Amino acid sequence: MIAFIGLILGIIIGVACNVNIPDKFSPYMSVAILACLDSVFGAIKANLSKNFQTDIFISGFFGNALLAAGLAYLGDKLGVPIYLAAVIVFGGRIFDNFAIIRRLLLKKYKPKPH
Amino acid sequence: MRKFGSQISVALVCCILGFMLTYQFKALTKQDNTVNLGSQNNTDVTVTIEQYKKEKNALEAKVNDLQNKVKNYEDAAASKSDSTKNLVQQLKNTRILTGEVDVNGPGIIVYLTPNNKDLFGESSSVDNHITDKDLVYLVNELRFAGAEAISINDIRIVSRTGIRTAGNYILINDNKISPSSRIVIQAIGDKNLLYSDMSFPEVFADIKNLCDVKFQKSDNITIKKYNKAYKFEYAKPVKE
Repeated sequence: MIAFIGLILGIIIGVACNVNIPDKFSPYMSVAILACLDSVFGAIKANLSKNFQTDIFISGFFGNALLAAGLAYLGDKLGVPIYLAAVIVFGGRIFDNFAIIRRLLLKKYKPKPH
Repeated sequence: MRKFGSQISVALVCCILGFMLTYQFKALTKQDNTVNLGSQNNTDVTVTIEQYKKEKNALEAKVNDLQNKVKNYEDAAASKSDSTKNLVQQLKNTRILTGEVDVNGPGIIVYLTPNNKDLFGESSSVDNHITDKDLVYLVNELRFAGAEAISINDIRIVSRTGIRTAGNYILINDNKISPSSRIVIQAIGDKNLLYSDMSFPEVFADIKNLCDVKFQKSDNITIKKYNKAYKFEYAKPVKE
């Protein structure tokens, strides 16, 4: 619940404030966003399976984002599209996480056969 | 307490995520807008040019129409008395001076045909094309020899005309002419005087290297009128 409040707050800040991040960071931002989304899905999964740990979530969130952006930057410099690796890995993990979340939710709300 | 702290941190992280999402979304929308501005492709531009050309022709026809009307009024006024007749005559002279009417008469025609091949059979580079300065020089030379009306490629040269290179073209009265195709300069005046002036060897000394120069007398040259309207935004007559 509190996570949603945070999300909405962030969206409001993003819409209201005109923060200027240079345009050339835009591609790295998108990869970082993917990494963050992955972390959030991971967190939801962990929460549902009751082994959520804040420190792991926070470190994963920032670590993944920075690593993804860093890799994309490095790939740009080397001329190798490394960001594809980030996109594939994080994209795949988002789907994996979602699949697990789905199972957990279904199991949770399934009427018990009595 | 620990749970509260963790929830705060999750909220914070989600806040950051939301911010990043919106920011990225905004940035991409902005990019799209700028891209759309620049993405008018060539066909669009060509179509627009065609439209403007048509519009220009229509407007020119309208101008001609209106000028004829004015002429009719003038003729009507002139038939009333001698003083108005004189006025109309003066008006006609002024019109020739300002280039607002087509004129014809004797004069000379100068053809400047660019040398497309140099000695080695290679096409000439931009450096040895005719430039704006050559045209200005020739116009000045013709005026000096008493030319009463001058046109370059049917573009009337009037007192307000500027001639200047713009990119690969030379602009005269905002009309483009290409220095790599043939340029025709017509001048109405004393044809013998003009011809002998053009015959001085030093007149074409510089230009001869750039292109073939031919000039001939003619008894019937028609020079079209100046195709723009005079507007005086800054110069006002002094009141006495």
